[in-house]
Amino acid sequence: MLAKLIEFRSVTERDALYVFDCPELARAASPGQIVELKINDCLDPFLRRPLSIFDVEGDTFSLLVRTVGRGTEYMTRWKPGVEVDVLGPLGKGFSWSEKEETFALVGGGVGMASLNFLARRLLEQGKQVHLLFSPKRDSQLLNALPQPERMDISFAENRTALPAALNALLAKGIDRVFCCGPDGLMEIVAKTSMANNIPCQLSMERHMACGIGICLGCAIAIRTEQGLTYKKACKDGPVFEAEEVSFHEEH
Amino acid sequence: MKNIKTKLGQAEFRNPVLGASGCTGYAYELESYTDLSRYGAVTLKTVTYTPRHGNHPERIAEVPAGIISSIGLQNPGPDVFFDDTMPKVIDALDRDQIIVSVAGDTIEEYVELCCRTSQRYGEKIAALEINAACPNVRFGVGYFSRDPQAAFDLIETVKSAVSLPVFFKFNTNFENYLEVASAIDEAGVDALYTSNTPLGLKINIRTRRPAIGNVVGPICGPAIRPIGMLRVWNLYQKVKMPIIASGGVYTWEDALEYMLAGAAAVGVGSAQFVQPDVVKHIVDGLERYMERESLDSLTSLVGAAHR
Ligand SMILES: Cc1cc2nc3c(=O)[nH]c(=O)nc-3n(C[C@H](O)[C@H](O)[C@H](O)COP(=O)(O)OP(=O)(O)OC[C@H]3O[C@@H](n4cnc5c(N)ncnc54)[C@H](O)[C@@H]3O)c2cc1C
Ligand SMILES: Cc1cc2nc3c(=O)[nH]c(=O)nc-3n(C[C@H](O)[C@H](O)[C@H](O)COP(=O)(O)O)c2cc1C
Ligand code: FES
Repeated sequence: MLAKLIEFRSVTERDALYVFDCPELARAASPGQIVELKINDCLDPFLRRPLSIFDVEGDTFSLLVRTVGRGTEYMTRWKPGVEVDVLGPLGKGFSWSEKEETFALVGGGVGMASLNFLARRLLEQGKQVHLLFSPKRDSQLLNALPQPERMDISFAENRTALPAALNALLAKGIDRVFCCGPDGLMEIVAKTSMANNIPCQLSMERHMACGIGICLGCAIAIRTEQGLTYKKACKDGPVFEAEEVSFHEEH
Repeated sequence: MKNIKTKLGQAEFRNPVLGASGCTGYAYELESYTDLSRYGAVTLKTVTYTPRHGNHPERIAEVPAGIISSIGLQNPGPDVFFDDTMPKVIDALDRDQIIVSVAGDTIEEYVELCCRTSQRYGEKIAALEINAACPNVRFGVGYFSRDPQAAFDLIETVKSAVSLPVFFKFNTNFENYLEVASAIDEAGVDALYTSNTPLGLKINIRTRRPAIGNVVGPICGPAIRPIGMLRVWNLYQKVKMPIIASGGVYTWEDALEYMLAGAAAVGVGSAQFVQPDVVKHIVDGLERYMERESLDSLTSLVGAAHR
């Protein structure tokens, strides 16, 4: 389907916010899901680019995108009005139970992109949201947040400082942790949450070819009752329970 | 009346555009993205004699107009495939659209997989596809694609064990591919399926390491189409059996080009990763072309560029 770019705004030197009008997608989306964008009509770049849904408001959805290579560089040249070929919403997002009241959202860099939409839905349900962001030097990214005043925001200087910062937060009484960021950061968050016996969900990134479950390119090692197995980050995830994810063992 | 039906040996398909193995999943995943009835057929992800976890990530690296992949034939093995997967496939596709792809390490394993498929689902599928391009523990990758005698023996044994139409998918990367193709022709299959995917390498300049876990992998996508074209051209002059060409088909024009070079049908692979409904567009395009050119069928165009 086509999504029309209606707003483009730089957030930092290398991160930008893209707002698209696309009622069908916006209405179907839930937090933690992704879209697959076609960058141009040509064969190069060949593949679509997977991006987390940063926010949904009415008929629009938005993306927070870091420029890291050719595809994301090309996107920065899009002008409002351009129509972009998009697939989505895709994948399995975050989940929580009605009984849970207080949530810790841990974002690592642009990984924060998938947490904002989650925060919006949690706040709509009257839940309490704590956002822990790392590394602090990247905190300009938070300028993208539409409702920062409704969350309790704290920072970890870097990954070394993260376990202490998270422990301090968890001590306040947290029902569930959600995390998105680089694998190294997520591993720390998974370990710390599990050590505190607090359920934790991680949004995992893997290189994707299709995003819809037909290529098996996005394999992620997951622990199951039958042992370690490869699941599809695009379809079985991107969100997994922390205890399921195997960061180091592979087959 | 215009007729786009395609006969490949004993098997007949509604059109000559097939979803290629490993790039079309088990078809039902695509139900919400396209009209599955427009597929000539779908070759399901290859099922191997024993379950395979597949290769270490990363498994995908993008290259200009294509990808290098190394999936390692991840699949749940025949028990899960027959019990859980096939019923869902049969709900999603018609009988004439289902091709089951099998791979084993030895001839005995191939034959057992073919026999089990035929016993359980023989009435419900169109054909079997022998994936001969797969890793072979004892003799190395692609053994049945590069040893003419091994290919001949494999086909002869399979053909005498089952009555379903059989396609042989082989890799044209080996220097003797024409010799192997002749052996396959002589052994007698319903069609020769070519995966024209040369090996390639990509290095991630950030990590300074090969971009995929397996270091090297086959390149697919439009980038390699001219290579596939030449191989199909050469094969058409060498063998009598129908040829199914895969390697970079993205548009109806690409499909037609392969047909003019000698392919009776085409397999569409990685283009579906980018456009999940691409097969429907290719079939629509071929039908419009037939209309425009007042063609009753496409058969007369197969190999026409040689004449
Ligand atoms: C589920 C998922 C959600 C994502 N959400 C977001 C998001 O909300 N915002 C955002 O900015 N980015 C997100 N990404 C990452 C984004 O997809 C990549 O940064 C993008 O595809 C890079 O494209 P490119 O053409 O600019 O870079 P390329 O030229 O393709 O690559 C440049 C460099 O980036 C690396 N790279 C490419 N893709 C990835 C990836 N998926 N993960 C890690 N490294 C990669 C390459 O290996 C290469 O070194 C997400 C990725 C996944 C899998
Ligand atoms: C991710 C991926 C997985 C594949 N898996 C299989 C497979 O299981 N069995 C098989 O016979 N071919 C497999 N192939 C090869 C394709 O079926 C096809 O022949 C090849 O990709 C060339 O076509 P294309 O350029 O249109 O992608 C795979 C290809 C890719 C890219
Ligand atoms: S990206 Fe293709 S299966 Fe996940």
